Amino acid sequence: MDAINIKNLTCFYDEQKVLEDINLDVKERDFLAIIGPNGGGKSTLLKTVLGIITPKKGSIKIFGKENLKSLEMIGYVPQNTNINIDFPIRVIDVVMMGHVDTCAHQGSPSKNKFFNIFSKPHEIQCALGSLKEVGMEAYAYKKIATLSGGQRQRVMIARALCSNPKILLLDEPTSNIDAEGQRSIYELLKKLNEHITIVVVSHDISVILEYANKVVHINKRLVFHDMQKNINKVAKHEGHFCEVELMQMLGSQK
Amino acid sequence: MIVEALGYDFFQNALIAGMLVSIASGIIGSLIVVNRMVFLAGGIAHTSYGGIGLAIYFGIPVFFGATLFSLAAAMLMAYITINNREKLDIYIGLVWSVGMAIGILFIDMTPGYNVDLMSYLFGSILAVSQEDIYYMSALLAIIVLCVLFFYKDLLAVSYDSEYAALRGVNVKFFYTFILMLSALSIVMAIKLVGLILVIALLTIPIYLAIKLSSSLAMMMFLSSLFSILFTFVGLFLSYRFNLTAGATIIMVGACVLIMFLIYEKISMHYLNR
Repeated sequence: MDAINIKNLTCFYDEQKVLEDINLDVKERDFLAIIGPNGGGKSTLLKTVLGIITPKKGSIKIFGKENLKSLEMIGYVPQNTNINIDFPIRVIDVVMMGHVDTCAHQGSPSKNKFFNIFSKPHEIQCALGSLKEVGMEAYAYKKIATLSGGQRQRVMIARALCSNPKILLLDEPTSNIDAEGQRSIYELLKKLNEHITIVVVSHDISVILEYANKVVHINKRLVFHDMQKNINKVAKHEGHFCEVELMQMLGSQK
Repeated sequence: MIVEALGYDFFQNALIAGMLVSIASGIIGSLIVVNRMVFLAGGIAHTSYGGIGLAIYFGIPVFFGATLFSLAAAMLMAYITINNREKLDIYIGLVWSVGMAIGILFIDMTPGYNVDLMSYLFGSILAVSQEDIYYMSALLAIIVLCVLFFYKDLLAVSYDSEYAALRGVNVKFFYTFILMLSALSIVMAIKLVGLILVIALLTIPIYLAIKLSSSLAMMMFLSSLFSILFTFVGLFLSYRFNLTAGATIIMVGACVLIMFLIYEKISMHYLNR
């Protein structure tokens, strides 16, 4: 079964067509990279999968179920994690926000939600587990303001893991991180990929190529590239190259 | 000196009222600051003058009139700014000045003896009555209960509203809710420092607390403590030197904040050497 199945998806943003007739299958345990120009609709696609944006046409299925009914299966790491850095909050409290309130999505009020200033032991255990997975358990009780950009990004990934998702969506996870930090984030994603399907929007083409097994290019419309077929070509090319070069390389295969 | 002051009923009332206001503004100020709503709250404070004018004109209790009017102002502000956050400043300015203008006009139209405008602009803590204290206690109880009840949601919305929305929290509701709670605490604070100086009470203690806290709840608690401290010291100074209480309280807070900032600068300097 496909982890994500998108059929004939068309999206508008303020009367403007952002995505047109998108068809995409993501298999379980795929590592999909979404590339494309700014304003090309990459983030819109993620947000549509997450149900933040309602599509004009088409359907999105998560493991065969409509996406709005299976949001708890998706973990999300938003683009800008530098908001509210001064906010007085500890790492573990940020991670615990990832707990999904599944009842709220089904329209009924959740139980035991009110008056709970203090978190329950199983929530804390779960959050510590997620932090361990991203290698940040030692920082659980530190203030978020004291972390570096890369560490903060790991915490955001832990927050997304807190709901035990089957799919992890990341929107430019390394945009504010130095080169070394970027690599370690991708190593982490590679490790998580052993049991989670990963979809990542990124500009770091050269890094992505080492890790992704599929690449799609989105600029209103979608072009699909199976990396397995192109991998030799890319591997021969040494060092960094830009998006255009990549597209030429992948394109010439056809 | 202090013992003498404590002997007076009006001074005891002022201390109790000051404490109630401090707790409310510590809690709500924290929410306002982390949600970057300081000038929205300033707008509501000034708009509430419209409620004071209306209340005086129609002869209903001023405190109560101001409460209703600022709740309405908060809802209006929330409604027009929720989808227009980039045009926020225009709308705040509009509601701010129109609200005040309404208040002034209604006071103009009120026949007979005109009330002391200054007491609403700069507070009248030494004229707090027993009824005022009951009313303030009720407002504070509402604020505390609401914040306790929705703490997790308020925290989620304040920290990362986009993510909160994704997790099923109704962000628009809580945006409006925070502004309405602000309206309640602003009305309380008007009695203490007046509507012009409310903003200081909602920001100075919070700015001190944010640096020392590791959670929103702790920030609320520390802000309230700082606020109580400033209020008590300010009240005694104003009694001793015959100064306006509200302004004295704010200046005490401002002095502590400046000292704190200088201390911070110096210690940073030595740490980095």
